[in-house]
Amino acid sequence: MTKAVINARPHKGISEKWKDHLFGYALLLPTFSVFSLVILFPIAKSIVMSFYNYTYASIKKGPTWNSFENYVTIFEEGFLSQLFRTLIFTVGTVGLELVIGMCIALLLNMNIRGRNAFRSLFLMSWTIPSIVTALLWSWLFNAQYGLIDFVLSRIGLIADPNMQWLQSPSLAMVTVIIAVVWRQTPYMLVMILAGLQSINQDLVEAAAIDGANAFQTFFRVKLPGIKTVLGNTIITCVMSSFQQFTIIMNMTQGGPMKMTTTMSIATYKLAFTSRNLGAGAAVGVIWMLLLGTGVTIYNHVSKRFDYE
Amino acid sequence: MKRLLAIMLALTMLCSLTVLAVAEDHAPVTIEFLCWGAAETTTAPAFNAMIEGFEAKYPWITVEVTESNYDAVNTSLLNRAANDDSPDVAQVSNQWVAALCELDAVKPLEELFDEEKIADFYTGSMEGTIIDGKHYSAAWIMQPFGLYCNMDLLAAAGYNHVPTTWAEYIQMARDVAKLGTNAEGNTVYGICLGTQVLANAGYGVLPYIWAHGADFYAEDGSIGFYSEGTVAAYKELQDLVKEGVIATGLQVVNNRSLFGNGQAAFHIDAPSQVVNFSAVNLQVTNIPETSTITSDHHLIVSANTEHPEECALLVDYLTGPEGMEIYTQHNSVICARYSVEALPYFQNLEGTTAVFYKMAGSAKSLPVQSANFVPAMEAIAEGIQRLTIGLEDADTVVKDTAATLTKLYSK
Repeated sequence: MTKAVINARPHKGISEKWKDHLFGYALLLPTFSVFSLVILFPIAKSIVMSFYNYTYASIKKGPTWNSFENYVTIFEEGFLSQLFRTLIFTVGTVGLELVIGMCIALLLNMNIRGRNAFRSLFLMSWTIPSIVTALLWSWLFNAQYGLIDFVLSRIGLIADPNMQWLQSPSLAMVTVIIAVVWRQTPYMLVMILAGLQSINQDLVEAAAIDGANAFQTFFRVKLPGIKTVLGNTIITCVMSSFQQFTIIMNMTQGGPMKMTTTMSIATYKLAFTSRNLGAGAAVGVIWMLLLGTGVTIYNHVSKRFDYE
Repeated sequence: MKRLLAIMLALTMLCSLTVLAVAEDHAPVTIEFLCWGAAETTTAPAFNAMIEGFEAKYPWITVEVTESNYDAVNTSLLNRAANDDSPDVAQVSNQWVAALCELDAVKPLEELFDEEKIADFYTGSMEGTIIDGKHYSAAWIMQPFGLYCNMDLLAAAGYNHVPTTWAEYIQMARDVAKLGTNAEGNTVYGICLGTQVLANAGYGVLPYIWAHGADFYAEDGSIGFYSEGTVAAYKELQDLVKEGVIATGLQVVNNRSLFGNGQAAFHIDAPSQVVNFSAVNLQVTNIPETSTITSDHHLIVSANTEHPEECALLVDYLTGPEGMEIYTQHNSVICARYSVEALPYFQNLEGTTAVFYKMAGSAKSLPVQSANFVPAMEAIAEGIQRLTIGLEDADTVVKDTAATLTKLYSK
């Protein structure tokens, strides 16, 4: 009875529905404020900076508008080749991480003796800081006293005991990719393993009863079962590879002859060595657009496949 | 006895009153000193002792030391200068001064010292930071680069002396490389040269250019890098790489390991690196028939300091005889002022420090007059990679490098 009376009362001020909405926004406000401060504002600032002559000197005197000059500068400085190298680096690292991570995850998902010990062992390289990884692999690949040259020459795989991995324009990228894959694969491994363990075992058993072999079970049951996890993990790894800086910088400084100068290295050199913050921001803006477009396309395509 | 005590007490009171009187003439002042020396374990005791000595001499001045590591000092100075918040006094590399001047963050020495005092600093070290005719930093510690020689390798190649001419230096390097391996079976090289894209690899090439009569600057002050001398130097370097006399693709730090491991006959480096070569039968000499480079530690005073007189006193104390006497009690360093040479420490130098000390007087400053010095040196290093790894034509590489340098130094 009371409820009916309340409902019959004419609306004054804000409706209950709007009160709920406002309460929801109020709850979101702290998170949104922090998000704006640490994400949206820097992005907006970077976009604005990319259209200004923004150097250390100009910070005091006041940056001046220079239209698209920063974008022209970065293309003159070889942006397209930097993008190409970034793509090679990303495809190389993520591709290898995916294949190696998948293989190890499938093994660790089996009921083998010492499985927990192996899981811990495979995770170890992920716990090592990137700078240590860079120094470690620099020493391993050192042409003068590196272990890899020593071992490979001893077993007769290479003729030159002073083979220059990091100094060779054709091998430097491969060398850096190996170091990054060694460091990053455990992340892929953990995510795939988690996905595999969440698959309903009834489906796997049903496939086995229906006579599916291991190959068919993997492609028809397990892979579709981890599709979402895999997609998100690949996206995360692609973004991580695009941003990779520490290992490349400390192993090759972008050389030899700019063969490992990816976009992150180029941005650093433009912004902090040449002190041209505007041009550095311009690379960042294009970088953001590329990744944003890529992720949007991925989401669109993956949704379509989900519906199918 | 009582009388003696009374006299001593009276004298003590008199001394205290004198000190107080001096202090009372000046209002207490606190100045900030940003440096990396106080943060490093090897130099921290010297820095602390110098600051204590300064504060004892000038009791109304308190020095607030802000310590940070070498790279962080540079970043901090740039950021603080951009915000008009520079420390009163800072320890800097002479390579950073031009960038700070671009931000109007540095007070010229002409506003702090008279001409006589400025003339007391070593000319070679001061030249690099003269911008628009004014001195912007005071030289403190010099680091002239010397030629480290592995006498065992030279002996194996048939030499019992260090090179005295450029031609002999190159020939000796070739002869050592012909040995192939050392006693441990490791490949040996004649010369160490940094060929990674880092600034120190870029300026490491300068003595080779100077040895061929070329220079970074032309006589009119413009970039004179593209010259017959530079091309000849580059061709010589390329030939040495092709012959296996120089190991390519190494950073300067790798070269230190290479030389310290007894795998190279010659290595050009700063005096501080001698500790890394204890396993080598070592002799240090001048780079023959050319000037050596010097990368020095300087002091700057903020353009916005509210206490320029006190800052000047600190700079004068640290770089002068009193500060250097304390510094040299803790560390083996090379001074940058003529008036400091009279200290017994510098009069009685022996061994490698004596050799480096002699070099300091004739060392040539790096071309640090531009805020783009580091990118310029990296451009030279990139050219060296094209020359030694890509084996590109020397003339083309020098021409391209000179164009980049001109662009960078015109900004």
